[in-house]
Amino acid sequence: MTEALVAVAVYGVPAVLILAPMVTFLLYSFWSVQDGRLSRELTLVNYATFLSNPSYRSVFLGTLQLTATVAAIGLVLGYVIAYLIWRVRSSLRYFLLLFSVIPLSMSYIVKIYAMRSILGYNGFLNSALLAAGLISEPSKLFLFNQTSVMITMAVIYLPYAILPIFLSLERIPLSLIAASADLGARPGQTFRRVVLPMSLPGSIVGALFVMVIALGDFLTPQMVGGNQGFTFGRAIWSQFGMAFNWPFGTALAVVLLLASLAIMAVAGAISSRARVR
Amino acid sequence: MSTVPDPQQNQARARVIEMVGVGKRYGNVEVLKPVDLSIEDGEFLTILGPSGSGKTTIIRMIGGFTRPTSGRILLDGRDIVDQPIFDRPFNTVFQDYALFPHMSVAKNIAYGLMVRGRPKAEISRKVAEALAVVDLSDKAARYPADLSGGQRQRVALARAIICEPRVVLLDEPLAALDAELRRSMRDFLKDLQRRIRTTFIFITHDQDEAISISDRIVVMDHGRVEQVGTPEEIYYHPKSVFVAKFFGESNLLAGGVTALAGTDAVIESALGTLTKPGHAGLNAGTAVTLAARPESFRLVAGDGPRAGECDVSGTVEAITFLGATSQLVVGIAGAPGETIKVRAATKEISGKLAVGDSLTVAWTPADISVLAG
Repeated sequence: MTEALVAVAVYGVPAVLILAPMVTFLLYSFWSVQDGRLSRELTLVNYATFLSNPSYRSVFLGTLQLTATVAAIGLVLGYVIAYLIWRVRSSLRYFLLLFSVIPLSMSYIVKIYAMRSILGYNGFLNSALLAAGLISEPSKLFLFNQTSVMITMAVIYLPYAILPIFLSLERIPLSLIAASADLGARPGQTFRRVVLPMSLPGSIVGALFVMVIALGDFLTPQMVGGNQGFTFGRAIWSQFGMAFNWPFGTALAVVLLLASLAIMAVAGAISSRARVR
Repeated sequence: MSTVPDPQQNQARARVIEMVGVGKRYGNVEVLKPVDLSIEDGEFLTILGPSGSGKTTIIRMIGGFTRPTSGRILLDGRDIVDQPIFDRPFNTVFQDYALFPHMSVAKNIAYGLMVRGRPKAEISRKVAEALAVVDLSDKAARYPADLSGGQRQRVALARAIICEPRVVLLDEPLAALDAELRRSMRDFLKDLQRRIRTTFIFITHDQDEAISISDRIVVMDHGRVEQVGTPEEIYYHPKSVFVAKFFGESNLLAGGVTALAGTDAVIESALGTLTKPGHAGLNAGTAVTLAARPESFRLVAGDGPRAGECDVSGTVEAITFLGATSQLVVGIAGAPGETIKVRAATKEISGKLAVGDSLTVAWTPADISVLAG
């Protein structure tokens, strides 16, 4: 009797809470809206629309490009910051690490508003550039376009890059660094031949993780992107919130999910190859 | 004996490294009391001690991983304390091998030459040679993760010797291997050191390893050098109770100096009266410990003690068969509770002696060490 209850709990709870919504979600994408009414007949029309409509395709590819750029910025900046923290050999390093990931505990909305006030026409960035004499009048380049979306995402997702990069540096045994120096390598050579190759796979995985998070983000583009900063996440949102075409929105979401799964598969392949060695 | 002096024998070997008053403390903790130690060119020097004795600190200071808080370390007479690790002509075999997991065996071995920017042709020739020396020529393209412990060990060795360092530092390299592999690696190490004629400084906490492999042994305890000497000197002539106990089995007997005659000391113990020459530092009334190996005692048959020997009689209290030899525990007559362990060939004992029998054992005073305390 209790065994049966345990079996229900073990298989039933995930089935109801995870599997059922997923199946419903998938099912939705094969339904359609006709004349404002939901038709439950299975059809591929939503996917066909996505594939045949050049504007959806270009938004999708543009979003992939945007989030790849965000991931690349996360990789470079995150690596520099994580490396500098890792180089600190006292208890200060964990304090610095904690400090760099504190933004993770802050509200997402607050961070976007903060970025808006930094990037805006009278924002901190423009004031600073004006004060430095680099520009003669405030620039409109920093807000309500693709660049502002990219900058904002790169900043708010940076902690997600720093953490895995720091961990992949931390996993390098210090005896390997000692061995490299012992064999005559100068600090720069040790970095290039031991530290970088050993931490790069984990760092790339971290950057891909950032890309996956950025890919689904529709709020940042909404709030700092203006009319030009249109992304795939916003396209999905508009199907649910404005066009009320849930089946088509779901199909777009499935496409996004597949893209995320593909990125995670790449990340998985990189990390398992790195582990074999 | 030849009357012409052999220059090879008389000339002391050149010193590679000289440590002068080298000590290390972390705050109030002194992990290494100031040490003076010379390391000779081409010798196999073992630093032996229990964990926490400071032996690793010595090797780390020579390698440049740790900076001494006092003293000087001279290489060919020049102080190298301020020289960075990568400029020192020493290479280390680390306890965990520290092989680069992302490089093949050949790349690992080539590393030292590669970072020095040697020509490709020279690197591949030397790597092939080094692989042959450690008998791993067929594993060049493998990665460390594919190798067994013993093979990794040999890669680490090949990597450490390829740059022809002045000194190879070995930090307990055998500790992670199983007993059988340890023995074969031990012989391999000794043989390798002879072939490449390079100074090896070897760290271990295993006495048998130290005795079988070394030209000289430095015995350490609690951050202090207890004794430096050849394996025979250390085994048969320990200078402290710690050293006597640390190596193999020892008989330790309490004694006291009863009189001095010139530089000779007359020592009274359960073994009777013993006259030891050359103990000028002792005074009448000083308590001492006598140390002797079980094999330094001889069972006396009908012939009695030989010239120069002392003897004592006793009773067999126990016999332990150890193979070719057996060990007796002998209760000393006239000294209740005092026993000595005596090692003798099994064929001398079996069928001739049994527990409870009386016997006489003889020894030579030179085989007995007189230790302070």
